[in-house]
Amino acid sequence: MAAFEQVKKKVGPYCYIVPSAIIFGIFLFYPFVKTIYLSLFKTNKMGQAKLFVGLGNYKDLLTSDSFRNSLAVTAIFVVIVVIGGMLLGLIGAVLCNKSFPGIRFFSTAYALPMSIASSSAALIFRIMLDPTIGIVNKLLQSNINWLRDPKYALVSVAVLTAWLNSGINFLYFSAGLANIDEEIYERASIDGASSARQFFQLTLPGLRPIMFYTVVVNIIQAFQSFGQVKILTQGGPGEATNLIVYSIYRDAFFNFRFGSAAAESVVLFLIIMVLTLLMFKAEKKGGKAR
Amino acid sequence: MQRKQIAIFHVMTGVTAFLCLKQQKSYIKGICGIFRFWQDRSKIWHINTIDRINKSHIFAVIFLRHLYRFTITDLTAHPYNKESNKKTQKARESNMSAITLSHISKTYPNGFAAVKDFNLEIGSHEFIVFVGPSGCGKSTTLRMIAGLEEISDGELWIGNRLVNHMDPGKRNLAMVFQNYALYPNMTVYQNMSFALKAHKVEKDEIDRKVQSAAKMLKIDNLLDRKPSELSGGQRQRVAIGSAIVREADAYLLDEPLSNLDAKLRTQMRVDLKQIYDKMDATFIYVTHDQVEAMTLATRIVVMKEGTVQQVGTPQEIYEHPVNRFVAGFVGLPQMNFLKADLSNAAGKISVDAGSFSIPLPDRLQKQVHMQNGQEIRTELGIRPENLSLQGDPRYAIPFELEMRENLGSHLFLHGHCGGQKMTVRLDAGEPGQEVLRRQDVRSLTVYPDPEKIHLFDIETGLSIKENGAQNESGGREDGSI
Amino acid sequence: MSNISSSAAMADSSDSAQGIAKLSQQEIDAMRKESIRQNEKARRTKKARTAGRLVLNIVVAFVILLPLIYAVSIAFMPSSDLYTMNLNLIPKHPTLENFQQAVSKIPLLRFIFNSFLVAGLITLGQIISCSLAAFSFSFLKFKGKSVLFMLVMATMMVPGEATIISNYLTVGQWGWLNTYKVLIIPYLTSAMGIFLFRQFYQSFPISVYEAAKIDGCSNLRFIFTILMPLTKAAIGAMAVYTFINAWNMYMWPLLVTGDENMRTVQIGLSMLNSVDSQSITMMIAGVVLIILPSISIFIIGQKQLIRGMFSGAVKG
Repeated sequence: MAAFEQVKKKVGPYCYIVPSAIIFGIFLFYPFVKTIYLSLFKTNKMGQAKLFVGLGNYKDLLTSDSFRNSLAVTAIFVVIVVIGGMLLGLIGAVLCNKSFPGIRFFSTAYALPMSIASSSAALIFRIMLDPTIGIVNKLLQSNINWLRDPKYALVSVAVLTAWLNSGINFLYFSAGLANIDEEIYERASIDGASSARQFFQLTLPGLRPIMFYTVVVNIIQAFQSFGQVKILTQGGPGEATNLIVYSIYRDAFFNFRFGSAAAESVVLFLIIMVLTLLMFKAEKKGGKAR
Repeated sequence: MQRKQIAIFHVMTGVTAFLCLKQQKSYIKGICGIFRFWQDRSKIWHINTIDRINKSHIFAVIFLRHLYRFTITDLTAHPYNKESNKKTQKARESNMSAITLSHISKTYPNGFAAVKDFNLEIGSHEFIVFVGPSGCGKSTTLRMIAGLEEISDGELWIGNRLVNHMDPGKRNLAMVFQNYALYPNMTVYQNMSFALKAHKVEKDEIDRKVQSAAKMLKIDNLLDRKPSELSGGQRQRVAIGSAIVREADAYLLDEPLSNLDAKLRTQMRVDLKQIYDKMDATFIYVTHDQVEAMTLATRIVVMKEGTVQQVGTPQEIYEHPVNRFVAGFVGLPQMNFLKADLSNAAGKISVDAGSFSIPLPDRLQKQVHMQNGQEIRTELGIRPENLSLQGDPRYAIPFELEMRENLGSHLFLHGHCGGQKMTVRLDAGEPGQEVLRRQDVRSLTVYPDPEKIHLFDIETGLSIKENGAQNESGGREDGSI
Repeated sequence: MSNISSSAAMADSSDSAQGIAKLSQQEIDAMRKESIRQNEKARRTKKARTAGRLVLNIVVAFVILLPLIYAVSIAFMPSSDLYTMNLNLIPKHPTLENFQQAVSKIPLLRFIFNSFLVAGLITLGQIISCSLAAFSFSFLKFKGKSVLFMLVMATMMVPGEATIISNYLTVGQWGWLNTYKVLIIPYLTSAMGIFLFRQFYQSFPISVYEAAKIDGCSNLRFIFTILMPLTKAAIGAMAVYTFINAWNMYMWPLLVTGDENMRTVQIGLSMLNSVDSQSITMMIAGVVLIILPSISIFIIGQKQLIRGMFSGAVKG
């Protein structure tokens, strides 16, 4: 019996992690390894690895115009989404910083986009951007076919994604603003600083820590945008909105080239990893300098 | 308009704009003088003939006009940039109150009245201390003066300006906060120069002012550090320094020393007093520590639950407290309070407690009007240092000694009189202490100084005054009962 | 006014050694009157500023809520009203027929049922598995705890795309396609959830746990009878967050379900993505219907959610 108790004590703690561990193992670690494995092969339509090509898939990718286009398109997309989404969130957070009648309603409103699915939002935006009946063209008095015009398609999808992210950004920035000591604003107002000066010299620097975290989260989110592309543009017109994620989807489930799709996945993962590490490094350096 | 004149205009516009950026006041004044002269001469400001003038010229002229108004009026009106102007203003106001609070009150939306009917005239060069227990409204009043709280009722005048609704930044006040409120992402130098930069003071002048203030506070070696790298005492000095670099109408300090440890606090008190002496400006200081109030103030305002209990110099507050609260608040150790009754026996009024009966001190005789046989319940107040072991036998009070504390320079005797706690303070060398040589002595007789006996009405708490001094909270004008 | 300027000039010139000319009572009164006027102006400016803030908020909120407002307005609009030149934000002839059509033309109710089932089970599963794991990380000591925890955190770095293809192939091999389990089981745990619970448990007084242990309480009993009731806030936050995310899932259900019966709301609705006006209003009505649950849960639970997400996590 004593031995059993001993075993129970040693093994017990691990048991609580077992359910999660199993799921992670089967559906996260294993597939991750398998993806890397697959990326080194050419596969058949069933997804079985048939021909070992080593880094051949990668070479094909990096030389293919289509993939390079995806990289460029994704880069532009991420930039617009991150900047736009953070701006929207920041504006909302600053507006709700001081209490005023109805602030509860407005904070809920600004955070609302985070509860909306990308696919639902995409369907709504599809109608909004419709050249004939959509409200956007009516407001702007223009005739632009937003989703079919290669010049505007990417921006449209990006704006939608930025809108989707604005909710969570609003929450992050609100928390960041709340962390700033209220007293320094009081002191600044006695010192005679205008609101603009207070914003640029007190608020923005005070948001530095949360801003880093928000940018990282936004970037990762932006790279994973799928639903809106599938519903709005399917990667087109031409390849104007062929984000990496969508390209992976197309490769795997329309062209059945699982190997090459896997390689793209790995490349995407590496890009995100490198970006995140760079941001961490930059934040550390910034911290030291401070 | 001649082409040449237009060209010269553009050039001068550019030069003036450049000088405005560099804040070279004297040059700007000169150029604007030339403009003025030109204006009178050629009536260029009045645009009559439109057809020969194209848009850019009109813009240049309008821009110039605004530039002229902006530079001249702003620079000269600003207290920071015109030394002599400010000195004049100050001198003008030296004959009148620097700050006047008239029936100021603050009531919160939920009905709680934090400050009730606060009246005070603060002269320039005064060191006013608001003192009282937590929640008495002293910080709220200070914040109303600063503009951080809305004034519910009453008028606030700074100099000859009514400033009830003025922006805090426009009241020309400086404030030091209890938690220092230093800008965390700026260096000490940037912290101290922030207000001056906001008021567009010249760079050289900023540097001069910051250096001299830093030297005064002995933080000139810390100018490049950030607040997170400083100790509590250093941060407090930076906060004070940031306030005194400005030449404000008054300096507001909200419990600045409360977050420091005891030793630092004593040190900073001395430093603050020195700064005040050097600067001869108005200081308004809030604290709950009566020692700070007594040592720093030129006048003290004692507050309790939103109302002013008494206003006076430290001496007045200490020696002539107007009610029991003020008497008990100031003075360490606290004044002794003994419940006693005034009784009138055949025309002679005496103060009776269970264990003693002493005659009413002469100076209070006129203030007490009693019928024969009437009794008035009061509290007798006497400070520990005003009790001694020798004195007029009519005023003998029995004292049961329980404990003594010898601090070298003086001796504290703790005990009770007829069940009521009492403390006696004797200075070293004060006569009458032979009786204390025996360590087990219990019963003593102590004698209060009749001139220093206070009597407080049990119900109102008011002191029965020896002269008709002002009663802050009701009762008869002449302080009698 | 000229009085002031003249005596000002006087004072200006004589401010050196001599002594400053005192202001006359008239000048003082003039100054006071002027300042009273300015004070009134300041009061009105202050009021205007608060009003301005409100107005600005209304404008920005309108811009942000525009898609939703637009969707609701179209959902209530008969399809004939769509093609007008005017700005038609408020439907002139509100009708419920779009909703009726949405529910009848596609098995929307079935989709909603599917989504509720899937999202509900995922939420429940995550709460249980994550709290168990977090409990182990917070309260128990064992070898390799920090390494394992780092591993868990590392999973947050792996983007969905890196695993989705292989997962698809895996579940395909197992024949799980078009079932409920394929939608639920891969999501029965999340690193974010473990992290969230652990944060909460860190601030839970360990003495309570030790006291329970001394009283002979088993770990499981402790978790379910003591720990969970006391960390309701964490559970609330987790529930709101997980349910909404599960409800909004798109890519995975798209890949693994083809059968109409099995589709969740997001996928099912995008089937309505066609061009003619009748289905546009119907589609938008459907969108409004499926947004309702997630928005409602969000609005009701947002205080919980925010408190949970930011409990001690964000430091200045």
